Amino acid sequence: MNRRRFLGLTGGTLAVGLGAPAIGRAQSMELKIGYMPHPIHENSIKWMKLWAAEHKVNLTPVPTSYEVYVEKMTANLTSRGGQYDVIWHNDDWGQLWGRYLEPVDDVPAIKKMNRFLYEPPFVWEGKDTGVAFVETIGTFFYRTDLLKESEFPKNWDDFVKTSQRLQKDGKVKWGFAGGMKYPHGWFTFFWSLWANGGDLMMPLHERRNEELAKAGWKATIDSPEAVQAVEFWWDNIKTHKIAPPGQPGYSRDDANAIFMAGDAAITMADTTLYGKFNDPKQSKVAGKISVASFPMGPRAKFKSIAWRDAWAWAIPIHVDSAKKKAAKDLLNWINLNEEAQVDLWKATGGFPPNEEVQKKLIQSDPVFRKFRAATVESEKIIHGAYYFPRWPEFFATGIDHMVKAVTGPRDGIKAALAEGSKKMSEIAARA
Amino acid sequence: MTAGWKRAFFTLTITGATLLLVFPVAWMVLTALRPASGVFYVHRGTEFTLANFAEALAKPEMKAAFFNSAFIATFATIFSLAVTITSGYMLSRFQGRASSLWFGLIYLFRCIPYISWVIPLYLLTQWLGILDTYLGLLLPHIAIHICFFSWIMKGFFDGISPEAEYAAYIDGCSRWGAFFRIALPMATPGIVALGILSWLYTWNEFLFALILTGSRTSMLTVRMAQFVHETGIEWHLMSATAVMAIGPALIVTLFAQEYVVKGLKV
Amino acid sequence: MPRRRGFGERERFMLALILPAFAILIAFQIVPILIGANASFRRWSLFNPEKAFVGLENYARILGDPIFYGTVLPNTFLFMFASVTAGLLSGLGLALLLNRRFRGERIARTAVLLPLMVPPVVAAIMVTWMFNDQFGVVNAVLTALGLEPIPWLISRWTSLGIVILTDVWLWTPWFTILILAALQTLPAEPHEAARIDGAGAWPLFRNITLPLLRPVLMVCITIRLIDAFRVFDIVWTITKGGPARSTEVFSIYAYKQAFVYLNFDLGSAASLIGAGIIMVVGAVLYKALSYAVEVSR
Repeated sequence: MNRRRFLGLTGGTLAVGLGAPAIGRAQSMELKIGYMPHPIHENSIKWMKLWAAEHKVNLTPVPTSYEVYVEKMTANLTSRGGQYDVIWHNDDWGQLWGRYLEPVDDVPAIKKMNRFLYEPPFVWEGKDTGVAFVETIGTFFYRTDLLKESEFPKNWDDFVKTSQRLQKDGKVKWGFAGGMKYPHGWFTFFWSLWANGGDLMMPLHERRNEELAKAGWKATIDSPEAVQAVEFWWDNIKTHKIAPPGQPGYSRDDANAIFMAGDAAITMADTTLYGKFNDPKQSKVAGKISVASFPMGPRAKFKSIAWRDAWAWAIPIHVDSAKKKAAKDLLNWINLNEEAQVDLWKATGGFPPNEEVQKKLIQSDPVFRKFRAATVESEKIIHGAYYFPRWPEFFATGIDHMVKAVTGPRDGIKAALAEGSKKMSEIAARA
Repeated sequence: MTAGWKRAFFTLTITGATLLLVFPVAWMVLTALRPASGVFYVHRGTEFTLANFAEALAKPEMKAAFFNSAFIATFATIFSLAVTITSGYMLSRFQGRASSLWFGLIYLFRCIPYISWVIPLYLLTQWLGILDTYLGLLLPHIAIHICFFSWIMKGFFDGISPEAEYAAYIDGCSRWGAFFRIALPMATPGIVALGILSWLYTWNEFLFALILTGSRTSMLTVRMAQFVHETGIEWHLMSATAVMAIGPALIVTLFAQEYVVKGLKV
Repeated sequence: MPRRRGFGERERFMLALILPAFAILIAFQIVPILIGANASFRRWSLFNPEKAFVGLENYARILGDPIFYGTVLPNTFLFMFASVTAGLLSGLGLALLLNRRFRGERIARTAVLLPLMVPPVVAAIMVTWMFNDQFGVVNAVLTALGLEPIPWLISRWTSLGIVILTDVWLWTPWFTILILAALQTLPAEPHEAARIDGAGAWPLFRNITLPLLRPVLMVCITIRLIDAFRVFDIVWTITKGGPARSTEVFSIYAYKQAFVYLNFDLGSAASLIGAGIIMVVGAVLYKALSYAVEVSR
């Protein structure tokens, strides 16, 4: 990418990117990027390197294992360690890190993105604290050699019957496989809870902390919608046998393996896994997959529902100002660079956050169009997490009780969920 | 039982036990030889490939991880032996308040779980500016060994009669001289054996490697786990790397097997 | 001794012997542990270190948590005793088998050492894979035998069983080489005398070999019990404490408090409580060890 093209793409907004003094000082500047090794991050860093080479910045990517990412980064931020200049920031850590992050409202590219991604996850005291680099959205993947687009189940009854039919015909081992145990409850419990008109807390679909506080931090995984959702899984596993009996012990990876081995007709995953599912070297179902929206539960309040969140890059507040400026330029550039944005989608299946690019892709790319229709064009869009500081413990406690409910006796489900709800409410209310 | 039956029983038991101990490793080797799409059902299919080894090794960070692990394991072993030989000698040769106090301290800190000091250790190494450097990994790894090794070293020296050292004192030898010339050589087999265990321990260690390393000092165990924990289900690459990682460990063990068996008398 | 024992000369020598170890121990173990201990008396979450002093509140919270005393401690002790007993018995058995000359001796000895060369975290990943309900070789064997495949990791007891099995696999060689080393240094005379008296294999082992092995066995057991009490990597890799916290052991509990829930204060308090428990259990065992050694002399 040459300077001229870069200019053309970024247009007048980029007095920032070309700020001559910054470049002058950038001769020996180093930017350390803290991230987890994942295809999405690696794609983003690939493009960052191009920018860095052009601006004579030394870019040093520092990978950190996901398992310890939050705690290491948190310890780093709270102790002002200065290990990183740019860090990966997930929507549900927004409130953990808010006070330690540089406001990035002045990055022009944010204006090109959907505001929903930012509020409330990445907003701290009225300022944005992260620049999104991919949208993370859950969707249903299914096998096109087993199901026609019109045959994909629209509701839970259909879901069970379709699965049973495929299994009975000997076409596939399982109708569905999805991650269930901590931290992957989204791919079974949570989607079914939301598709059944329920939510983790009241008021329904509320994510602003002030409102949750007003309602008394009340967890609702014992609501009729939630109990029905867990019963749905209990039945799927034990009565209808359309999901593997080991599913309550599955991480996302276990379920993905079953789908990629060709042993499940349907799975639920982030759109960002499309690249992996569709890679013939790793997956036996490559070239035979498509996406669809959630099969809705009996108590659904909308025709369709989906969650929409983002991963972002953020800048620690104690980074020195020249580096902050360079980092902002970099993050602005990568989000305005159409080539980089399109490459992210093509290589991984992740939605690029720049909506102008998305509009172009809708025109030019039928697969992207299908992905959009299955997800963000749903009637109701919600956030997939909550944004109060105790969320990690709240979330883990919720999943643990759902697993307990689904592995116990069917008539004990309600009690197990009530116990979980009580504990979760206590956790959320704790300062 | 006749002698023949006895022999058959012995052969059967030893073969069975050996197979049980080897099986998971054999399964790992088999997994490492399967192509990515055949890794789901390792026991089905007849496709085999050596490409996984090449693919795993092709990553530059993997070569660095091999080097880092070998480097840290070797130097952590040398330094922790160096500081605990003397500490164990002190525990063995001197009775009294100081000695029992030191032993008490060692016992006390041997009992504290690693997870209770690894986060403060992260903050500490960061504060000292040695986080993600060799020094920042070596020093904690030496600290891990101090309690256990001092304890074992005491055992080694307890097994050596101090008479020879007393005789040396009479000949005008200094305390240090007696320690270096008399006690140390006699304890060598045990020390070498302990060195092997220490090397293997650090080569295989995970929790400290996970928390205390960044990009510059990444260790092999963390890289291996990433194949399964982060990029998903790349069991074939994880296995290929693990098989290669057994190589150096096997060489170290074979090289010193005699020492390990003969040297370790507690 | 010809040398005049100058005031403090002996002490200076003692100090010099332990000084390097002592310095590293202070800097990289004691200081971090004190930082953690400090946190256990304060309100200190990783994301908001406000550090208000709260006295023993965190300790009370942990000790009053039904999961801690109802699940975590029983699991920890079960794991500790089951895996040390099984590891000890199989290690002792193997050492006795290997303590003779036979064809293939070298191969067998190397094979026995193999688990020592596998990182515990890799072993745990492999075990999880082998016990995978869909793709695992264990269920493949069950199916081939006409049995139902078992979803191993969704019940408490099978999960714990797998974890213990993995630990036994990893540590049997450790017991084997230590016991084998001791066996080879045993004096031959008592055995020969007993054999001349016509003693059978079992009485020989029971009355001669075992008493002579007692010191090494006790040291092995004490060290392994302490380590088994703090087991972390294999449990974390295989079950993460699940399903639904039913296989949490003490280290997992403390780790989850500090690392997953980000409650550095509660995590520190939990690990110090655990350290206290194992110190007492270990000290009792250590006294028993010293006593047993005295008696056996």
